[in-house]
Amino acid sequence: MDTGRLTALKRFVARVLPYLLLVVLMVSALYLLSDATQSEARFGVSYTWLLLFNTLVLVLLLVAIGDRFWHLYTQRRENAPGARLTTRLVVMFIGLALPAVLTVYLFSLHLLYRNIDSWGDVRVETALDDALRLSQISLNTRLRDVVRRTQEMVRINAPALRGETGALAALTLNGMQRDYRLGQVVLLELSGRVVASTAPRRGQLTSDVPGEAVLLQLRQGDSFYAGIEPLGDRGLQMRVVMRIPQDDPLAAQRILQVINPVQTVAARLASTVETEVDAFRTLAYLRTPLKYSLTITLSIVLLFAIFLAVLAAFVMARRMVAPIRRLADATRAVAAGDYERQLEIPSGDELGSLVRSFNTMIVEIRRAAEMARLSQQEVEGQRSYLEAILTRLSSGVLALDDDHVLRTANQAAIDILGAPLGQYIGRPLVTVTRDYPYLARLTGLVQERARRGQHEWQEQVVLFGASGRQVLMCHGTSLVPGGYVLVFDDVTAIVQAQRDAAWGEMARRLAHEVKNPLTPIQLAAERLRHKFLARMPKEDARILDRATHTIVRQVEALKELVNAFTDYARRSQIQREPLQVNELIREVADLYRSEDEGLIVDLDLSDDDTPIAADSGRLRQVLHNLFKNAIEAMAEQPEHWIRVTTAFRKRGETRHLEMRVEDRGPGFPVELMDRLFEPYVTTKFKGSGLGLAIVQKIVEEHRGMIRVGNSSEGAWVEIQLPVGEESISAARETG
Amino acid sequence: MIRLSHIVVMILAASLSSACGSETAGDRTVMLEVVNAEVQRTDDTTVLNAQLRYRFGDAVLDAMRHGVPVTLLVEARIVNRSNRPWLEVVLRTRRLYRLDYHALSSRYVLEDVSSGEQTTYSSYLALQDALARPPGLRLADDLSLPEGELVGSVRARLYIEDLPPAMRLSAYLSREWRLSSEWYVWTLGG
Repeated sequence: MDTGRLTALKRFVARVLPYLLLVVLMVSALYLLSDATQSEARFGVSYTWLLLFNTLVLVLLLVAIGDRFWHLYTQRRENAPGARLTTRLVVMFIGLALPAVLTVYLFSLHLLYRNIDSWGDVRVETALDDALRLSQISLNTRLRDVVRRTQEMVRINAPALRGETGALAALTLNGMQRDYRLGQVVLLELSGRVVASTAPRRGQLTSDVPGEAVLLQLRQGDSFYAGIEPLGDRGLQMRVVMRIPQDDPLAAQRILQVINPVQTVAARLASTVETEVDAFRTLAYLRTPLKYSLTITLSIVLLFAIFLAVLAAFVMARRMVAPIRRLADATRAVAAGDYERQLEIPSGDELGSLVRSFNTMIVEIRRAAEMARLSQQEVEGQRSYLEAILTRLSSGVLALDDDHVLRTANQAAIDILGAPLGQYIGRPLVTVTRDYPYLARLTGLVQERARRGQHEWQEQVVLFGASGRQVLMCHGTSLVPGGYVLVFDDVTAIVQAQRDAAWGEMARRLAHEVKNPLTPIQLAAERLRHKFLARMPKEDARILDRATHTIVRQVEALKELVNAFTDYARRSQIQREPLQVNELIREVADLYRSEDEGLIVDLDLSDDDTPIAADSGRLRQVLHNLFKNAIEAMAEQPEHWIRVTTAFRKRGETRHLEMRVEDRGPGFPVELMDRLFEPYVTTKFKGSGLGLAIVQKIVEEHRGMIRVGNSSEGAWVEIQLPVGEESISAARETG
Repeated sequence: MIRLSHIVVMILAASLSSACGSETAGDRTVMLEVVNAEVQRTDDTTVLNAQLRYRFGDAVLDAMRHGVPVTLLVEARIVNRSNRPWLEVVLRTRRLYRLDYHALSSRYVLEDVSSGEQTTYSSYLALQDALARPPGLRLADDLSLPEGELVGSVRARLYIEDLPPAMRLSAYLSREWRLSSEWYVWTLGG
């Protein structure tokens, strides 16, 4: 036997056979029940058990149906595939089966009731009642005859019956029995004790004595009792019990009982009538309970049919919905990415065709998915390749979409900007600016250029971030599918190095081209003075002296100028160490106060004495240059006043020290504002013009920022220096 | 002609009756009890007698008057408690008594089903009275009782299983037909 047939057989045995057996048992039980309702002889005893069995089966079926309804309810609640269709099919099946079954049920009951009611024909009942009454009248006539004869017998034999006992009394009774053609004659006392009796009737061992009820009736004063008594299968008998008149009130009251069997043809006919009447009355009486029982039986049949129909509806619905459910499951599996599933084709009908198409579709989807997977792998490979390049790129790269949402940021970008941009992938660029405000210039630039619609641009941006001043060279490009890519390099060191190199070269040339000829000039002037001064006329000597002095002095001045520029251009290495700037400011201020008593130095220093990472010597030079510039600027002013302010500022996650030096001088000339930090730019008659240039150089060496401006009172210079907490920590650990 | 509505009403009535599981007994208070039971020793034999007091409902009387015999099941048991913890059952008997109405003679007949012995009564009251007075019903003859702590118990109930099948279902659901007495328990020789 092949596997398919074996599986089908197992399924039949496990699922169908129990129900089939149950149905067979139920049908058999229903047949027996309906038979037992009417036939006592065959199944009367087991009627109760049949009823219980059928009820039990109904309960089982009800439980099974309830279970299926509950299952269907849970399926519907979970929106299981096929649940609604099953509901619809079940309702349809029930809707079809119920009216038909109910119709058969009601008409069966109707016919049954009519049939049962036809049993009780009123005319037959009346006839039977009349026949019974006639029989009773006939028997009563006979009974009255026996009573009359007994009365006569008692009247004639009263003395003997009152006094005789034993054998004499028995003889008297036998004589009376013979003379009056009576059945058994018994003489008793009123207490019930037998005094004498004729021979017992056939089949009896002892005399039949009257019952307590009869005796009581006579004790209460009745003169006689007469009645017809049934003897079961032996027909009827007449019992007449009569008081015997007693003259002596002290003597025991005696009674005489006569039992006469009714054995005439009329009596037999009366018994037959009685039997038939009895049967008819019983039948008529049983009509209502019979209807009741049959109603119950038919109701059980009805319920059984309905329950079977419901169960069948469930089974049919399941069979019809199962392929659809499997199809839905498979569809869901496909939606979840499982393309390996192939459905068994249930049949050759439309459903089978649908399943076949589904299987074909799965194969196609699987092929397409495989291609998509390969493409995805390729894309992933390219992405990895690009990421590897971006990661190893020293330039920072940011990719934005059209809405300026950050899409990509490489490690170099994170390192250069000092912000964890990885956390902001998928978020607008403004959120980065919100958390790291020092990037505002960069992000603002990107937005500005995007707003302008520039597809390609390049610009240098100066930021002041956690690590201080940064010069970024930015290249922005709009992408074809949309969005922008920003590539930038930290060119701070390059710019610084280039400038240092340019100034160094200039210093070297100055030294070579200017300073070198100065010494021979000076020596020549001194030689002229030494050789000709003494020999020349006084007036000429005075002129020569003044001229050579001028030459030597100017040569010295030129040498100083060149030396100062060389110092400025010299590439210096700053030595950062923790420095309390406020302390340094106080020292410098005290020095200038002591040199110029008229100088007012107003210090508004921060309470926070946090040290910053800086070269104290270089910063001291900055302060000297600024103080010197201020004092020289205020030379013509009546009041010499300098204010130095310090404060720690926080911008995003970074801290920096802000130092501001103000004076009450004439302020910076507006026309020189753009060139103030260039060497040899000065407004003073004396001076090298390198003061502010050196200040800027030192500040930039500290990765700081410097700004200048004029206020209503005078000029101000503002310097921002990064705290450099990492450097301080490192210095403390090593120190 | 019977209308369908009558059938529906009948079904509903049957359902309601089934649901309620009881039935009014009319004005009569139905009851069945064993008023006394005793073992009587005469010179030559020992018998077990029981007296019953009962009042059947209208449904039972009506059935009797329509020729449906009503059967009383009387169960008796005598146990010996001397051999505790086990109870030795000395006697266990079930006797059926059939009450019938004989229309021709207008008499009530009490038949001991096992022996076939019949007693007739001129009225239902006479039948009631007879069963309530000694000897009432003779449940066992020629008893041979052992010595010991003997305890007897007697119970009576209407025996529905003896009714015509058509009546049984309604009888099961009727309080009048589900008539049963409590166990009457007494100590023998106490």
